[in-house]
Amino acid sequence: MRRIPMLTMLIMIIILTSLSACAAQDAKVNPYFVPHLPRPLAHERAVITSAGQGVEGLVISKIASQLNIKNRFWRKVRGKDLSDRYDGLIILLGLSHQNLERLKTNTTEERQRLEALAKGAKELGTAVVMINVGKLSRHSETDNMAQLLAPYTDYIIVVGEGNYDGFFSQLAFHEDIPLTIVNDLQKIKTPLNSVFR
Amino acid sequence: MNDFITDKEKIVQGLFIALLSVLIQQVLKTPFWQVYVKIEESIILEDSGTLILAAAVLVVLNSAKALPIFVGAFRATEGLKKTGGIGATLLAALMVIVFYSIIYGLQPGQWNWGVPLVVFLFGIILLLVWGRGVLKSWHKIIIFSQLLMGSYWLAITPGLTFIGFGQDETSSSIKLVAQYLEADSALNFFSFAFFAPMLIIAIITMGLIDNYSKIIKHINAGKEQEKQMRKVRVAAAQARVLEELNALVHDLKTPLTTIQGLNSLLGMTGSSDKRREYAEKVEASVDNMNGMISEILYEDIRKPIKVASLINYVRAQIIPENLNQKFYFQIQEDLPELNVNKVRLARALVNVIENAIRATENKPDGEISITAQEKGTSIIFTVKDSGIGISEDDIERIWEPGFSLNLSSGLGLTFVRKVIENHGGEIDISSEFGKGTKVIMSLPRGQVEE
Repeated sequence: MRRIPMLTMLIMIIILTSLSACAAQDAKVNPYFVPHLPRPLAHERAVITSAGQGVEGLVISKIASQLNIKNRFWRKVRGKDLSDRYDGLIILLGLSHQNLERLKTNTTEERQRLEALAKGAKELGTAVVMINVGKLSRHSETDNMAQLLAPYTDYIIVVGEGNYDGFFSQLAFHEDIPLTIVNDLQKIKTPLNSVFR
Repeated sequence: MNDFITDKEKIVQGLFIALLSVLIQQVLKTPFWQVYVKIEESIILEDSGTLILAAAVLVVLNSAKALPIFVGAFRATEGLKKTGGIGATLLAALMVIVFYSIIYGLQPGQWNWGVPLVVFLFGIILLLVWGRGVLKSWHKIIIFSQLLMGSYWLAITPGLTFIGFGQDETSSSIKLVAQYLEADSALNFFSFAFFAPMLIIAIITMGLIDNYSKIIKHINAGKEQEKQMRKVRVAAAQARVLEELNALVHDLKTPLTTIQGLNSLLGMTGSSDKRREYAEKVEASVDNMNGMISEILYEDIRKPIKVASLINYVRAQIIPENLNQKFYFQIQEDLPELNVNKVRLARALVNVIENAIRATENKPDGEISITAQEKGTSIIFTVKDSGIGISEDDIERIWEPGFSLNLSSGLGLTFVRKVIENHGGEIDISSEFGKGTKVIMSLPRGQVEE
């Protein structure tokens, strides 16, 4: 009779150990998920730009204004344009080939601009926030730009289903960047506000 | 391969039309940029109305870009033997896939098959199944315009994003801004409010086109029936006229018999040589007239006659319409005698020459030449004029009983052909509109020289 409870306990121990191991693995994969930043990265003004010239930059600029975050939406801001006036740089991932063409630029020039901009921000000590207001699938060029910016990024916010393949989780894990994932655009206000307040 | 393809030209036309989409894509580049301007304006003004306007412009531009692909693909299917079959469906599908891939593959950015698939399926149902694949090109343009203008709203319906609709950059941008403006529901409503009616309109239009096609078919069938009826009526009238004419001509024989009888009595009773001579001449004339009447009445009566005599007999019956008309007669010497029904054949030749006279009457330099020559085993009679000629459309109808170019009975050429063919001959007419007409009648020597 004693053997049965012991055997049962043994099985339960094995199951619980397996479950805790799995949970630990999850924690290892996503140790940087945060609902918002615990303390602000910037205080004054932000420059907002699009990586790929999509309309996302303008949308986030409007949301930032609603949050009383002083900001300037600057389509083609370059590293040399940054100064002490701006202590935050928000880069929106969003590729629009038609807008790139309309603004007489291309993906190669855009990548060069972004790299120089991120480097310039780092040199000035400006906080860099990368935001993706994603959709079901991402363009490979958007992923390239995200990987290019990741080493200079201080915080990543992903909206919607942009992290459907765990791309941003992996990026945050490898580059040691805090990551917040929100369900829809309206819920970005809390993590965005936490960057400045 | 030829078992499947009946008209290569239509397939080439379809490919050419579909290729136009590449050109349209280049032409519409700037208007597409304007859509982005409108989207940004809606963000700045926080105006969902401007966003819906941008969406409407995008729908129109996307439809214009895709229209040649579908019209071209379904035009190409008309080149196949079975226009509404599986082969046609596969060809249309292949062309849509290839040209969509060319256009959207060359143009960077993501897209999916949602909208093209919806349009293609409705295109198959409406055009290939319902329309049996034989609609006119402008019918296809109307139907596909409606289907595309309705279906491209699905690409900007936020509620359908989860099944993959509207993955392209511009549609995604519109849906993102709708989310920001909290106008998702409004955009869902407007998209459906445009999609459903456009689809219903396309179905109604197809119904109207189908009815229209059926009405046209019935009208054409009615016209054909009427044409046949007219032919029958003319043939009946012709038969009745000939029957009455025969009876009338036959009646001429009765007084002739009386004249002949009394004349012979007169010749026997009289003593004067002169009177007897005149009575013999009257007798000969009556015999002659009797023979002519017999030739009119009985087609099979044949008598030997020299071609020159026949032509002289015809010449005596020709009356020119004006003095400017010039006649040329060329009769080959030593032509063999013909064994023909002189009265009927002469009447046929006179009919042809009278047509030439009418054709040249208003021409200041009108010329008519009549030739007769031996060729092989045939004697060829040619009547050539420099008149107004006959148009290509009319020349196919000249043999129809009742058809006439000069308000006549329309039985002349039918009679001519009947007489020539009864003599074992052939007749051919060639004409150049505005330049003149040539009629060649050949009578086989072997048959006439009995």
